[in-house]
Amino acid sequence: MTDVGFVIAGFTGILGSLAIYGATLALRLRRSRRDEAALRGETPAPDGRAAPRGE
Amino acid sequence: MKTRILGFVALAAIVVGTLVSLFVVPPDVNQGDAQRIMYPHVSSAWLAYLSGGVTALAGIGWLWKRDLRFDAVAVSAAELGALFTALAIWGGMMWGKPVWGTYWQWEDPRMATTALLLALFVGYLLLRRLSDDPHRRATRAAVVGLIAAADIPIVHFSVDWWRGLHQGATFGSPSKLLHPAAPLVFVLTLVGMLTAFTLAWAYLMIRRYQLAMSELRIEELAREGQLAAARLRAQADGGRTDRTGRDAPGPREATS
Repeated sequence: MTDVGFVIAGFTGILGSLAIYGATLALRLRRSRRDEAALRGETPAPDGRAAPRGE
Repeated sequence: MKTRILGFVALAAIVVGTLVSLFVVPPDVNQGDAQRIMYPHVSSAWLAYLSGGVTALAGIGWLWKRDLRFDAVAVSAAELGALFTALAIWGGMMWGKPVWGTYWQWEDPRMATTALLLALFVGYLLLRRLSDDPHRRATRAAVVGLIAAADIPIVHFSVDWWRGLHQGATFGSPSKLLHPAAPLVFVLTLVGMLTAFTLAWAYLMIRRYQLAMSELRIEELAREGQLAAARLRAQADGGRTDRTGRDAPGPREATS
């Protein structure tokens, strides 16, 4: 592999992992908020955020 | 909303930093194009240090104040610490092969202590799965977090204390920072990438903290639910108990 190949592998690995982690974290947060809303007996907002009490 | 803006700013900064690193900065005289990997590699290493420091400080906060919000900060930083340590190792390997001729060398103190740091972060996260009691879990994790933080100065100064393959620290001393040996364009790009990665770290920390707090509330709600169910069962059992305290026969027992 050439130097450029290692550069591409390095950048792709680091930035790709960051992107995958960010996307996974967003999904985990959304699911957690939905579960939390369900346990409270509230209807979650479309973005997964628990609706405020009294809504 | 502010967090979302931070996320967009961090993303834009990383895109700009990457484009500058790949297409604007000239190749290094000695290392050629391989030095371009230094920008995300050093930035990842810095964030591994920062994550370890925050994990330890939040652990101390928990041990002192017994507030689970400190534990939520600690677990968030530890997870990011594991991620950025792994990314620093990956970047280092992709740089090491063309420049040193090898991906990895266990005899090198910097590489060995960095691998240990990754193991400590992963161990921290695994340890937390051993207990359902949030207080016990936070206390055990805080101790491991402090051990991980103790490894960080060893990682950083290992290149000065012992002889190895790895070169000296990029930001070793204040004089080195103010009077860098590298050309200005290299230094500015590195500072820009460090800033971009730090913004991304801040965004991910906020989101991970929100997740940790949500998980804590779910645990609390589940415990309350179990308690309420236990009370209901106890009430139901009480209704089936006669005045002498013995269980009254149920429908099946009555018919048999």
